[in-house]
Amino acid sequence: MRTLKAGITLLQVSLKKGSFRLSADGEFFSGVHLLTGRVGSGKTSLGELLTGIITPDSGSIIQENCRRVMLLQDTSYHVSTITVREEAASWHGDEKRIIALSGLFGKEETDIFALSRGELKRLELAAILTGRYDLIVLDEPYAGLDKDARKWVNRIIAGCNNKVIILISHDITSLPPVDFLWEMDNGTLTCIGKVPECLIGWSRAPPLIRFLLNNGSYPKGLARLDLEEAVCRIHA
Amino acid sequence: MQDPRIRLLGTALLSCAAWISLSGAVLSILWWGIWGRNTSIKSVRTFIILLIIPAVMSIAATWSGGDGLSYFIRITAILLIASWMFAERYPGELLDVGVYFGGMKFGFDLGLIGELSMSALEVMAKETDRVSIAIRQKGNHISPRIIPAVFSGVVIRELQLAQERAILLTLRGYTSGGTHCPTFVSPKEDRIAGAFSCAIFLFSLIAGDFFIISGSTFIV
Repeated sequence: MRTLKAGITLLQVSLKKGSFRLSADGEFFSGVHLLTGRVGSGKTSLGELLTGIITPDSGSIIQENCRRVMLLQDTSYHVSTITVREEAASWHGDEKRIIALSGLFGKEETDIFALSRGELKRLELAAILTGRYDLIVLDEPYAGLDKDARKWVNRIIAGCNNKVIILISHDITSLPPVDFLWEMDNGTLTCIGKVPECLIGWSRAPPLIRFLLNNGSYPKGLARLDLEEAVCRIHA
Repeated sequence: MQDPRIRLLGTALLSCAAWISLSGAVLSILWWGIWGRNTSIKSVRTFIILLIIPAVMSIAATWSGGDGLSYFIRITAILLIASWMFAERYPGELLDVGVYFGGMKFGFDLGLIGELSMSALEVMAKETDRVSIAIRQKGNHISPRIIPAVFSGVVIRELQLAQERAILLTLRGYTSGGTHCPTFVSPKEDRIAGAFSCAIFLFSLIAGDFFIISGSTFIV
């Protein structure tokens, strides 16, 4: 069966929250999009707009083949059952796969609120990323996760095809392979471009990227391995 | 209404007036129509849902020979006044009013408890909203079966928030009472509205046969 590619288009979208004003234009195709920007720049509000949790004051959001959308919020918001097994089953996916992926094998009958925050996040992320969602917005997915868990998240993201995955993060040191780069600056969304070509023109690039570019070492992407490889090239 | 002292006093008086007599309830609704108008109830649907339990109770009262319609109107008036008070409130007003009426010790503590409770209510409402979105996106819906799990999460987070606030207050050296100098804006319109709420309360006391002792209750 042929899988239709998902996408979402923002046309002159604007949203007002008190004195803060958000404006966004752009198209999010299938692939991994990194949305970065300073704290309070409007990243979370944009995520809520994209997933239909809030509606814009003006403009339109056109979803193409995005029948199932998911926004990863505080992980405990998603809990709707008592045990790990029930929670895995409540996502209507492959229950055993979710438990195995999240490393909770043997803890199936454990009370969901007895899990650590990291364990709960792994369970919810495994369910979301293996679920049949067309559009996934992950708001700060790395918060509260250790290095190994971050690598684990990235491996699953890298295995997702035909989905629009939007990563909202200001931490660029532990990313999966990213296809497109977006930036929010004081409420305005800007498409920086396709990675890695756009990195040279990234005017607000974080210090690590600026350091690499200033030393003539252009990273092949924003994945951790690409950045490590670019750093090694400088010292080679 | 800008003056929280008049608003809180008015709320208490009008709620009592509405409960004591049917005429008090009708006058309270009229008062709301003139000076209130604002409400925290966002939609007609929410208002109808809120009235389901009072409606059931009043039908039951009517069937058992009581005055169900009167009960329904009184509860509706109380809900309207309460929703108006909640919609008009601003952060810190309970502390202002508490200190004004009760002083820096007892009043401050009472105001602080009120503020923390109101803020907890707001957090709970926001969390409930978020949780229902998350559950819907999962492809489920809120049903009696999942309510215990869903709301135990909300309660756990509320308790964690309360603990964090308690620690913060302790770290700041709070033991009891505090210094706070409230200021109030009291326009003429607020004072007129306040005077009318007093008049409605007094009228309701007379009209509601409040002073007639009948059976085991003071209210007939």
